[in-house]
Amino acid sequence: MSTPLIEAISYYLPEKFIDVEALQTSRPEWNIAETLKKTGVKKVRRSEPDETTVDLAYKAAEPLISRLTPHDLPDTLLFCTQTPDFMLPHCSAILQDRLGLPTSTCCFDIGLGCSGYVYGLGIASGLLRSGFSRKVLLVTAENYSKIINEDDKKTFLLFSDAAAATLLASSHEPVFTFGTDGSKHESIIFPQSGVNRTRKNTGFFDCEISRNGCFEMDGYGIFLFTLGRVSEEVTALLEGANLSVDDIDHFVFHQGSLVVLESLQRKLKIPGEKVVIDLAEVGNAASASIPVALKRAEQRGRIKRGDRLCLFGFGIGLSWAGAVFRY
Amino acid sequence: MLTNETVFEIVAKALELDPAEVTRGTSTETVGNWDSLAHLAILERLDWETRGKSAHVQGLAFAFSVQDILENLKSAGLHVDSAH
Repeated sequence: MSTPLIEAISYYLPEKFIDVEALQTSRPEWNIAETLKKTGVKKVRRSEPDETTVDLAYKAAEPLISRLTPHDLPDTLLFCTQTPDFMLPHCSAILQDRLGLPTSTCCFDIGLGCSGYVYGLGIASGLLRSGFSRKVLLVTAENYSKIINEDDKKTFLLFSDAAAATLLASSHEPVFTFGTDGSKHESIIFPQSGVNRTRKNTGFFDCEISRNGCFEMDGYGIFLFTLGRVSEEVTALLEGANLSVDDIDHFVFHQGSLVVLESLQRKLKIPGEKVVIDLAEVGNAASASIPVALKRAEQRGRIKRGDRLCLFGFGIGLSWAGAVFRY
Repeated sequence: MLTNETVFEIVAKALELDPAEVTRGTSTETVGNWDSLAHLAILERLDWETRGKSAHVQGLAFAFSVQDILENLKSAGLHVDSAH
């Protein structure tokens, strides 16, 4: 058997959270019961106002890095986020210093959201297989509370802040798939967040940076994307790996929302016990959702070392990435 | 290829209505429980009946009436008018 790609995962969830059900009192205009049926999210995690994305990443990565000997430290650090501390410099540079990694460490950021973890695994796998890297630390960290408009229930009641750190070593086993349909790039967008100031907010709320900006998501469009393209790509990934649903022990999809995961499960005819759903306490943590769900499933004894996994991330771009390997 | 009757049945099931109550004029304006959850159920059932084809019809995301649904399906070549 090939050595496993993933050596270790650690994660950080902010202790502070918003109790979604309790919002029914303060937000009577929001149909919380209906929202809960769709999202499955009972708690959305919130970082402190002064807690940055690199702070979250450090809290996820430090416990993992601190137990390594100097010889075992990663020589490459990939930092995936869509909520960077700054447009420049890159978060990985700041984290390299905070973690005390050698200055010889190759550091770069990946600007991807919900597909970012599996994209990161693919990039890391390539670096490791080519011999460029000996060990890679993949950090996925999101701080969506800093860009969510608190009057937009669609995003406010769904997205959480979280971070995960994954230590990776060379393995020849993983099979990957990647893809992008850029024609739908406006389906999830944070207008006015970069140098292009021409794109205006089209949502039902005012775009005011002072009120956490105007991060927008087309929920119905994303649902169609999941039913259509994502399910087809999961099937193609399994076929490309000469595997069937029966050969996979656990599917760990991006934890988009409950209706998305349940519809994917039904469409792909996956037995319910094979699909990891960990939304209630964690929420949708974008690029951190897959590693957090994976590690928490292992901590509960549901996923074990040696199990064959299918990971599949999808979202912003619109993009998708999948991987099949033994854990 | 979906007929009017099949679409009416899909909408009726999602909205917990008698299929006879569904017309082209049925919409989010006329049916109180055509909420976002019901709309997702309609989208999923249409996808099932069209074997995945309707999921690529982006206009269905915001087709909040039976008339809009039929027009989007027709534009995508997924709908034929029924005989009566």
